[in-house]
Amino acid sequence: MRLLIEHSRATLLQLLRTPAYSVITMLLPAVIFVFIGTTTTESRKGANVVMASFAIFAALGVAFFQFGVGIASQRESPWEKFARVLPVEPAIRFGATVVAATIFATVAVAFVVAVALILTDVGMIASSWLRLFASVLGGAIPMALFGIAIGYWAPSTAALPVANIFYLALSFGGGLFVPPSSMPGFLDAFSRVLPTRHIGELAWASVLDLPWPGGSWIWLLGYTIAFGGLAVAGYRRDEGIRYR
Amino acid sequence: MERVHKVFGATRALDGLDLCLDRGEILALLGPNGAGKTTAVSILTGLRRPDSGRVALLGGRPDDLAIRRRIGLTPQESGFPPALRVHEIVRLIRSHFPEPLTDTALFERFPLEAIWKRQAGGLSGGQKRMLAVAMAFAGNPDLVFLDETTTGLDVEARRALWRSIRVFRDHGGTVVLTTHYLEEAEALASRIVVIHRVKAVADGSVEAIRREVGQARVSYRGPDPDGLPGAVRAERNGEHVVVLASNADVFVRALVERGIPFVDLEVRPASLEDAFVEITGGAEG
Repeated sequence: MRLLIEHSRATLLQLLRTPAYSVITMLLPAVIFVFIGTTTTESRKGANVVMASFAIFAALGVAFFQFGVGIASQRESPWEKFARVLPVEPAIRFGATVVAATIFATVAVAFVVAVALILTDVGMIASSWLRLFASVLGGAIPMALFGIAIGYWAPSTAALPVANIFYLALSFGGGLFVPPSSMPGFLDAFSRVLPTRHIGELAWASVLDLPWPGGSWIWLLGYTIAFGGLAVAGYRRDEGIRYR
Repeated sequence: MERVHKVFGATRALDGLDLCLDRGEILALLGPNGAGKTTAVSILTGLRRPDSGRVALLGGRPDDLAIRRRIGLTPQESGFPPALRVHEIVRLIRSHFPEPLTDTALFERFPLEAIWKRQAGGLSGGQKRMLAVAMAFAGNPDLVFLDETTTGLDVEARRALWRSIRVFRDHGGTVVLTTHYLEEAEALASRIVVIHRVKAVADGSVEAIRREVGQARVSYRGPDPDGLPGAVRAERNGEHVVVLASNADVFVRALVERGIPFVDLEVRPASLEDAFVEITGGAEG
């Protein structure tokens, strides 16, 4: 437990003092939200839906950048090599990454919510807030695994652009920027197989106080298994190259 | 380690290396780049697994956490998270060990006080090396691995490190160091293993290694000493001839008896460097 705290602390300090990471992941979603999310809707329901979309967008950034880009740059670093021979289980070091990511994601989402509360007519019952956070958290798990898969499969120099492309393409394709209802038919059909669309469906149902579409949880479970397998395979491949 | 083999793709990295380590000794692994020193250390510290052979360390496997809590080693250069401060890095490392060195004990051995609050990314190359070395000792381990540790340190820092290593040894610590500074192995090591072309080609005390190739280094200006008894190897450098002799007395007598016109005769004990060049066939580290 002590080691988990120490490693989390070190990870957080390192990331916080790296503005290129911390400012972008924590503040950028809120800033984009200010410019394009706060002006598009007049109704309270509409405001709730747009905030939910940007909350997902904020959590996705952490999943892609901390796990994806972070792992890609770490796995080739001499420090990583050194940390591996410290007397600590790999699970604890991974746990520290999860702790740090959770804190960053919470702050990023909190900024979006704060902007929404200040600038828009957002408002909903307590159970909707809880279900929104559950949806974002549940959706963050497969996406973090996807980030890990990118981190292990992409070369370190390519990880950042690759993560960026997937981040924006999945956010857009999932209907986080443009609601699926105003997408052309073929795009909507394509959107229905993306994980981000299903995170969106769950989050939108939460803020509109509608029942969760059960199918979306099953989709996310499937994505969790698929991305989890990809991440584990990437991890094993990297171990095989570096530490056989 | 016993009969350890290691292959990377088509490259044989270690071929049946046997290595035995006694408590309280300073063992130097010496050899040219690519000889297999770093691979040997990676396997000993559990970073890599051998393809075949057996490795035991402090009575256990090197990947066992309880064993690793008794081992210290240095991160490679510039390997620190750049935004962390020195004291934060030290704190993180020490948290892994049951009885780490206190700040005071650490400062006694390493001049870290001046950089204690600085971020690792802003340290000079020498300061990073020093921090890296201090990290090997910070956990107060029983066994320390130093892989090319003094490369890039200035003379003063290197001497200071040598002092810390001796203090550590005097308190019962065991050290394995790889180096291509022969001077360093000569100054510190109680035993030397020369690794060359993925095998251990010599193993013994500094004295024994030296004896293996010749007791003495004889130099003079004059013609070549072709076929003189007592010589192991001769090399010409301009006017100067340098001879490694297994028996300097016999060689010098023969030099005089044959009437070879030499001047500036000098005889001194062979250095480890001479031995190293001899053993590895002239391949420089």
